[in-house]
Amino acid sequence: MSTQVANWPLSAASIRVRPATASGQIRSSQLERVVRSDSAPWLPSLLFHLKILETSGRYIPGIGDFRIAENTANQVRRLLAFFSEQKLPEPRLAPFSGGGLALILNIEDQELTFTAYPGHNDFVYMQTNEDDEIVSDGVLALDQAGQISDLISAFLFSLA
Amino acid sequence: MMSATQEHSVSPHKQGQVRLQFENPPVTETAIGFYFQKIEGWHLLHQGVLWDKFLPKYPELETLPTILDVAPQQKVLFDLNSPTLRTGFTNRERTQLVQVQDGLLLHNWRKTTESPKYHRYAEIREQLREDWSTFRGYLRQRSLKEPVVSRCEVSYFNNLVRNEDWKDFSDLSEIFTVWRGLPHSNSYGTVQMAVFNVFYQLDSGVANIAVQPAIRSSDGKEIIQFTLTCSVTPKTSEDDELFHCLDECHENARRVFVDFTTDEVRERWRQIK
Repeated sequence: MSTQVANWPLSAASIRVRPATASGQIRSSQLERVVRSDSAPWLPSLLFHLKILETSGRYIPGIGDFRIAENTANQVRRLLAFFSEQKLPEPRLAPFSGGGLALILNIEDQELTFTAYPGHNDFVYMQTNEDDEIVSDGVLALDQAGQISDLISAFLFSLA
Repeated sequence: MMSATQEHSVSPHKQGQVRLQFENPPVTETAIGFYFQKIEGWHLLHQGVLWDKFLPKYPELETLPTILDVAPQQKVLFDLNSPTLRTGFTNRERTQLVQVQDGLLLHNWRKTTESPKYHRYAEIREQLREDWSTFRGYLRQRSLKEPVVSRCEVSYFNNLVRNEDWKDFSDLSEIFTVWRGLPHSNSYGTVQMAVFNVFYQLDSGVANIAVQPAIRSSDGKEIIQFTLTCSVTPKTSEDDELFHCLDECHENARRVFVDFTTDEVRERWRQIK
């Protein structure tokens, strides 16, 4: 059975795929994986804010140390690669005293938070529902790619 | 294109006979190959059987997102009995990749920390020639029609790493000749982020230059990915014509690379003139 994508709307047994124009498609590197702004439209804005935190974070005596180390920022950027695989709203960044940084995904009052601590190669994650009750939490490292992707997928699925 | 060992001349226009030789070329991956019309009788299962032919050199298999690449006037057909998927056959080191989909065959090479030596266009071209021969041999073996090639293409992916190749987006004008931006002003400050995408119709073929912020997944480094793609439409699908067009793509890419990057940045990549 064949379906013409050019003639939307499609029949029930069809795949909804939007063809790119022949001349308008930017090629992607396949072996060296990168996350680009064409797959994650929020990326430029998030990178901008992350850079500000890296370069302008302050140590405020009596209040806290809000400087973000390059390694911590790199950890968060690597985590963003998983966010770009799915259609998500722009994640939010929240620094906290001690050089830590939380990456927060908020949809319909439900949250999924990944927290990076300086000097650590893993993230503490926590998912909460609309009543701020913890749905799941734990620790994941970046090499647990499957689990991170599953966690994000499960969070999106729970909203459906 | 951006190697310490390349000795081809660049375009005869403004640069004259310049040899592009870099100690530290920014290119991290190259992809070359052919786009062709869907092959009558091709089924997804053929890709599995075809892998067997590639297995000795490319023992690893991965599935990749389908590329939809059609001219605006064309209609795209999806046969749900045989969905179109893109598969990748890679070597163990994941430095060489053959991409196969009903409608395209591409060969990719990438630079890694373990294997940093730049592979010249001529080397990748020979790899593609082998892949293409394997593919066409399979088609003949299965009594399938010869591919009708609609486009030959060469892509270079250059990763410019923040704090190594650039510090701020205001540095773009030191890298790209087309980027001038605006002078610093109190009303709009300095440029904080930039994305641009340029298409050029050349004497033969098309060139596309895309510059956009990105993250390198392997280490989380912030980069500017500078993608340069050149394509040429072949007159026939004979091998000689296809590889001649591929050479044209390569030559166009070299000319565009020189035109779009500043003398200063190429000097920084240690070009030897």
